[in-house]
Amino acid sequence: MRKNRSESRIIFELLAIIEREECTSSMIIRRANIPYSKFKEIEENLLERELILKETNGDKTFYKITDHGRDLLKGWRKFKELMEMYGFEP
Amino acid sequence: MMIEELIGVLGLILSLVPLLVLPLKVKAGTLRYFLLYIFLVLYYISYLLYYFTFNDVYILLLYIFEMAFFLNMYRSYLAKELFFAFPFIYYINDLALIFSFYFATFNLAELLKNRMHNMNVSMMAIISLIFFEIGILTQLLRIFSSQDYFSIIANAIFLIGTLFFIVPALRVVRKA
Repeated sequence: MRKNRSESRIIFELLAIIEREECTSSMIIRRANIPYSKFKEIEENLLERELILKETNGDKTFYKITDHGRDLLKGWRKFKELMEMYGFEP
Repeated sequence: MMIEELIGVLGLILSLVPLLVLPLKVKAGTLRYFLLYIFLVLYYISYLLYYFTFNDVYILLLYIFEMAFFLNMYRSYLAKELFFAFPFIYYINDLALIFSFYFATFNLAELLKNRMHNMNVSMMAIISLIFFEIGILTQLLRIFSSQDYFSIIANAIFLIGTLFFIVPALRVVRKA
């Protein structure tokens, strides 16, 4: 049985998706495999902490990662690597 | 410097290394990462305090922090087993050591299982746990055979385990 992902893991997976390319909300929801309500909750949190930016182009809204978000993601990857070496799933 | 003192000082320095070199780099998940090492630091602080004062409170703390260290590693059992263990440990140190052995054994089995499934488990973490296990067993045998709660051999083996335990943290720092 697949284990539930932790809240922080979902947040960093979402940040990683946005880091790869500018995404719309539906792209993020599909790739991160999360419900819309969860996405809105995380999006609000990330925007508030200035980890992502919201940009509108015509009728579409895109999300971009900020430098601060990129730094945090880098730190998370190191943390994940460290935890995995001790047998933990972050 | 006596051997016991040397073991304590070296252990404290080694256990402090990951906390000193990593926090600024590993911004995310600091608390969980901090928990991984802090009990080891507290263990060696209690060790040195006991060595210098021979106050029984510190040997009690030493055993509790040792147990908490392994308990944190095997944290799926944290809530229920710690709840049972603490009232008894207050009276009997041996029980904390038995719990340490229990948590370390299950954690070792878990790490070996993960390693076999090709997950990124470090061989150093496994080796360190083997040394910790041998250290705990030696300490248990010393207690049963001669009521020695502060065995130099057990502490020395535990120190070797500590040395291996911090290697994965140093690897992450080196890559940074």
